[in-house]
Amino acid sequence: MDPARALATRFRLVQHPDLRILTFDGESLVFNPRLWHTHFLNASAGLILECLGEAPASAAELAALLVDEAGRPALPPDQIATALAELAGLRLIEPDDAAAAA
Amino acid sequence: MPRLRLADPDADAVIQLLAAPGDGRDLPLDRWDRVVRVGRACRLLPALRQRLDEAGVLSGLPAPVRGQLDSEAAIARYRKQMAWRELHELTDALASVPGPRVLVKGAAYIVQGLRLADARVVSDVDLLVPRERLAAVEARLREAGWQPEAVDPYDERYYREWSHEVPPLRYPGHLLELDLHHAIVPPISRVRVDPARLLAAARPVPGTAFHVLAPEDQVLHACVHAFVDSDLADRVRDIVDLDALVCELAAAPGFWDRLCARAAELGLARGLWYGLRYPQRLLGTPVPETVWRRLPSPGRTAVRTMDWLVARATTPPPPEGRQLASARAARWLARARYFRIRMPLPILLRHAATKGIRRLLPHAASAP
Amino acid sequence: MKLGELPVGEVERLLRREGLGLAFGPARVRLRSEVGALAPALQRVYAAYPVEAPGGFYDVSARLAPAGGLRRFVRPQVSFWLDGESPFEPFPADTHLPLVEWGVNWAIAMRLNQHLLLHAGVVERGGRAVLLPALPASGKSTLTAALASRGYRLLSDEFGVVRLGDALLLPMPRPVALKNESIAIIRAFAPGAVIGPEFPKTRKGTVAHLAPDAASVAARHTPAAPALIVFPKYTPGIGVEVEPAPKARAFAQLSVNAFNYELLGPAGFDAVGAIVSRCGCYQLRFGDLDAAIEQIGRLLG
Repeated sequence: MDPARALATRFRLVQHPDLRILTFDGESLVFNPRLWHTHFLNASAGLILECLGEAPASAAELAALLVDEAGRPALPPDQIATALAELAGLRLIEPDDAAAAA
Repeated sequence: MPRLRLADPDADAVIQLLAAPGDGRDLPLDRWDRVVRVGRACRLLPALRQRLDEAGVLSGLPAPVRGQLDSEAAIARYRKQMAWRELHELTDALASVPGPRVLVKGAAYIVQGLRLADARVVSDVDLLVPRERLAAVEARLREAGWQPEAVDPYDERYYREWSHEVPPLRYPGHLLELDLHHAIVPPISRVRVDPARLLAAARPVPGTAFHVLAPEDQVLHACVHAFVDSDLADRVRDIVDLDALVCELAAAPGFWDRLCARAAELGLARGLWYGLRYPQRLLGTPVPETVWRRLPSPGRTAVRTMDWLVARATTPPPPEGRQLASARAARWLARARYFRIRMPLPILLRHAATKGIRRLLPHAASAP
Repeated sequence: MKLGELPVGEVERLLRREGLGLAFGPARVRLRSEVGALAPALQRVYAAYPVEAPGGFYDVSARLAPAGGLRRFVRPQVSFWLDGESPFEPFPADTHLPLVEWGVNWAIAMRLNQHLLLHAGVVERGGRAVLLPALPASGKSTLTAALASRGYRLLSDEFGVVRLGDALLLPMPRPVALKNESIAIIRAFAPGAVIGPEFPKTRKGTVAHLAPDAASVAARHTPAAPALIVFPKYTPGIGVEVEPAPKARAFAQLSVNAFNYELLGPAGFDAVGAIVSRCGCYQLRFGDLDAAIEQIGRLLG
């Protein structure tokens, strides 16, 4: 998926019993059940996954959630969209719509 | 019906446990030692573990025995996951190439979610495509990154012209090989099976980009693989697979009827006869009497010869000690039978001569 | 009856006939050998191990045999066989024990996939285990040997065997392979330690094996809870320097370096995750063994 499309899509975490996300001090390890592979994610990607683990969200909604102490967005939406596109490419997240659920 | 005993007593013990896993409850540790070693060489430990589990015996086994069965099961599970990885990559790579993409053998069992898939160690991913699409599919795969496994020009020609396979492909870094087929027996072999009929009956697997053969055709293919297009070497595993496959697929109403009719239609009645006889004689596969009445049986000499060959040639050499002379003889004879089926005599002689010459002169120029 | 208590002729007989059975904990190994010279070397480094009764179940059945052919007389070689297959090139006949140790390591890595197999030394004190992940030129074996000589229980030099489900470490106290300078270092550091014969011409240089002590062998069926991960780096000229290691990196190092992490999938992920969560993780640069041991003691608490 390209970042432009990711910007406009609402995503959720894939449903799979073998999906694992573990975060230590802002760095995340993720077990990808589809590829049977472990990813090492940087802080932003890890945070995005954690947020999506709680509820589906779009790039804009994530930007609103990921704010610093002063309430300023910590990540611009297009950077979030790039991360979302990559995570979608790894099949860790998917578009949150009825068709994907079927 | 009398049991057929395998000549190797330890392999026979493995088969007996597969047929009656409840007997595992009382097996002494030194018997388990032999059973596990031979079972591992026969690649039957995942099947044994599944049957012991179904019989409620697994959890009560001595811990080290359980440990070895679990270890082999972990390897089998990993290979199954690697098959899925291959299938996901194939789905993406072949999205632009018109189908059908028919999986056969182990990959087919996996993609259908058969119980059998958890009782096996998958070796490769086998993909059957129409002959006219073979070149395009191979080209697309190579473009997408799959590389042929290194073979010399003679072997490559053998694969392409005389056998029914493109040389095996492998995506760099992937564990499993991808074998592309356009037929299930070589085009020059004495047993002909029209691949177009198999492809016409193939059905899609929902939720995937793949097709599988009709259930009867899957059984027939397994019979061909084990007894027709085969030198019987280490085929004990395929006999166990046939037992499991037939038991799982026979649940469908009308299965046996369709199976016999299809075998007759495709000229595979002889292969089916052997493909049902040995699972039944070794493991007690419930084959209805009507099937035996319907399938023409081979001559008594042929059957006795096959019984003798199967008892000796289908198991690997024992891990300790020497192989029985009769087992070596059986393997030799079974190979001769295989080549006779696979190749017309003139080509067989040329093949043997070329291979023989190449063995004597490793630096001679390749390809006659 | 311990292996060290048998007459060497009896050890040789066992190796030639029904096989010598040794229970290393999660791995039970039966060894056969037609190479007479192996018996005394094996006996020295496995002296503390009870000899298993004949029969029984083994995870690994291995055999050392002379490699055939003309070389048998000119430059004799030995091969390692695992269940009728010989997976490696033969070794010179006078490096029999290193080949057996190397072969058994390989066989264990092939056969023990019901557990997670980390590539690490493991020692334990006060019920708390220290993991020393193996990285090239880290000095892991030297440090493991030194700790084992200073009252730490030896669980393993090569394999951190992790039980899936509870992530406890299972002991497999086998000889610690010391290479080149480490041999003299450990001899000096622990004059009472039992070290097997030196084998000068292996692929890794000179190799000798530190025998596991009787207490570690006796305790081999007692698992240990992981408490500390120490990434060692032998740095000549300094005393000891320690700094915390980020846990995500520790996870990555442990998993990348394990024998079967990829194979185990989510179960491997969970086991490494549990270990890293429970352990303090540190990088330790050391030039002085005593200082390193003291620092580890302090980190262990």
